[in-house]
Amino acid sequence: MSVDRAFYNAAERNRFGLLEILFWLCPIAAFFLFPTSLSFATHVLIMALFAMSLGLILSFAGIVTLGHAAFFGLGAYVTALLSLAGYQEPITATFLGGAAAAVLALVIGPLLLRLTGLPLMMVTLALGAVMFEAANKLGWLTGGENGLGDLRYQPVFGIFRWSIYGQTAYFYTLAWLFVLFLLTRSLVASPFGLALQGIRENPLRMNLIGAPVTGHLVRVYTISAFIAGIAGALSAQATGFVGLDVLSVDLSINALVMLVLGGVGNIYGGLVGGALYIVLRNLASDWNPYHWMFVIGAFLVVVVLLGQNGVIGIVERLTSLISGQRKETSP
Amino acid sequence: MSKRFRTHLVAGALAVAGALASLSGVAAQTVKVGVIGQFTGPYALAGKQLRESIDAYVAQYGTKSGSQTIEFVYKDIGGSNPALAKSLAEQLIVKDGVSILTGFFLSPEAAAVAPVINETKTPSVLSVAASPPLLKMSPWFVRAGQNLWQPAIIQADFAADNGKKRAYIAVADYAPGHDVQEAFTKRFKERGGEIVAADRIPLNTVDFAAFAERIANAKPDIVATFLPNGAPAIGFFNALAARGVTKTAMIIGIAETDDPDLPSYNDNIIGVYTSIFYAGGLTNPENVALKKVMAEKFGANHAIGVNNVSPYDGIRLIYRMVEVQKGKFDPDAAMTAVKGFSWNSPSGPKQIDPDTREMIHNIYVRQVQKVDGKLTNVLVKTYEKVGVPKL
Repeated sequence: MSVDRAFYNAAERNRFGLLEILFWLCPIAAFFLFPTSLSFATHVLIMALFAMSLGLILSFAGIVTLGHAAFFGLGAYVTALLSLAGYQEPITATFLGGAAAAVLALVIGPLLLRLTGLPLMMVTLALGAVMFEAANKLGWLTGGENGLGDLRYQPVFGIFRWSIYGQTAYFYTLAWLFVLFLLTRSLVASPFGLALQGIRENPLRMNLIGAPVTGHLVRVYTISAFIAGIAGALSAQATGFVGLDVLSVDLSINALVMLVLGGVGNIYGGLVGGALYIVLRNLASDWNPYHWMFVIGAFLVVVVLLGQNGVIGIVERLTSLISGQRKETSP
Repeated sequence: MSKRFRTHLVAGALAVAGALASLSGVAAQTVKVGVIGQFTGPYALAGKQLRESIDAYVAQYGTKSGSQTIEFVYKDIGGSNPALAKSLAEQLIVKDGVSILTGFFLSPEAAAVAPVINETKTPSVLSVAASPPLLKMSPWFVRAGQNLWQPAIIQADFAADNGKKRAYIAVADYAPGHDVQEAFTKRFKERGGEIVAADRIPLNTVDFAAFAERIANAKPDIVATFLPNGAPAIGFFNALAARGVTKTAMIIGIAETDDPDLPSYNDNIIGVYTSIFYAGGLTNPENVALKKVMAEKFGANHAIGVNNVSPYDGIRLIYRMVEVQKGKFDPDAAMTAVKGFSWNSPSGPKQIDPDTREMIHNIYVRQVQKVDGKLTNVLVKTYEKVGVPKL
């Protein structure tokens, strides 16, 4: 893969571009435009966060995994179990969910990340399946197929109460998403991020110049797992329910689909793709509860055929067509 | 910029839609009913049957109940996903403004929705979900189908009534299977029987030979089973027949030989009993009418399954809830109207237990026989007005 300068531009500059600011105004606008759809909008944000966590390792470190839901699920279950055990302070509960996922990644990372490509995909797929089956069998802990329901959390900062109308959940999730996005953005732009891109392009050469390849990969894998765990924890808090679906292989694959849809190789890829995928799925299944998958499939085919880099790629090429020259563009 | 234009457009469209909705709300009293169903994915057959039942009921009785019009809003879960069910329930109540929920094929879906309807006081009719503890999770649940303990207890009663002593239990290894095992074991022991062994068969099993072998070696005189319809059940009964168990023991299942599934079986199934709340051969006028309208709408070969019948009863309950409404929807009045309510359904006389909100209804024991060269569920024995026992 040749390195396109427009590839990770947004993070290359340290100043926020106008388009980036506009992008982050969208979720604020959504709050006022769709006040009755906030619980759905929260779900959109959570999936965008999850896709972003996968994007961090896939786009910037070249780690292709089919088991990322393991971290999402672990975060969700840890936060849920904390609530059931009586620990209901929301912010630390979310953090602990992410931390648990990070610990898991730290433990398995050194073993997993010696693999690349197809073997890595197979092993992560197996890992995801094992986690799913373990949760299914440990019914006394996870509730098995019935899941863990009726999770309660204290008001955020002791003021904002959780309700089914979802204002609290929405802004709480948005705050986490924004903070973690800033972290990801600065990470990608840092020397560490550059080293990761070096590993993605040529691990052998990085080894030869003395870079700790596996160490770097484990570090970014752990950070990504932390973010995925946070996304899972947020889903437990926002829905007040955790079921086996948080560990399903479908979820891992969906995250990959979101990333491809949005654009691999741009830090906004996961955010755009995740939001687009969930919104589209919802609109399509509202339109026709029987044949909505057809719409999704057709859309994916079109995007993949047209854009080399998802929706962001299409937008970039359109803007360069219009301006008549290739220049740096933000998503 | 195109994004901003689009948001304007959307906002405008929303405003117009909102104005229209409020206008129509004034013009005619409409009660919206949210239907959360399995319309795609592995359980899509049940979703199709749910939709058929609603269409059939509307074709028979129209959309008006009392002074109000009923409108159905459909949402798809598309697989086992309780969290999605919960989020859909929230959307239906908050955004679409539904007053009643129905659907709920898998029990975990209903369990996940319970806290939502407790907060919003939304009466919810469980059209199929059969897990015993569900109704304790919310006072707003009412069951249109069965509690899984009911058929399991009739399995045990029927076996004991026929002098069987040594039971082998083989159930699928998931929550409903465990419920059946628990209820059957308790009742069969009370009736003086012995459980020689109990197997929990993993859900993704494709080769049942080993289980059939174990069962044959244990020499039971009755095998109680509960497996998901379709491939697992077919494989299991074939394996039992191959090992000769079908000849040496009574085999009694629950919904495995449902009428729509029966054509997928071969003659190995002949002689197998099932215990469930519906039998296609019932001749009561309601069943005759239902068969007629189903045949008109969905073709002469349409077979009515249990997952048609209980959602159909669920719609009956919803019409009852709406019938008593005067003006603004009153959830308490709706629940009071169905508690203790009794009526004649295609599956026989029905009554909602006023205390538990469980269904008190007939459980039929049917046997698969060959009638006129066709596999048919023949009604063998009716256990009348079976309530939910305390286990």
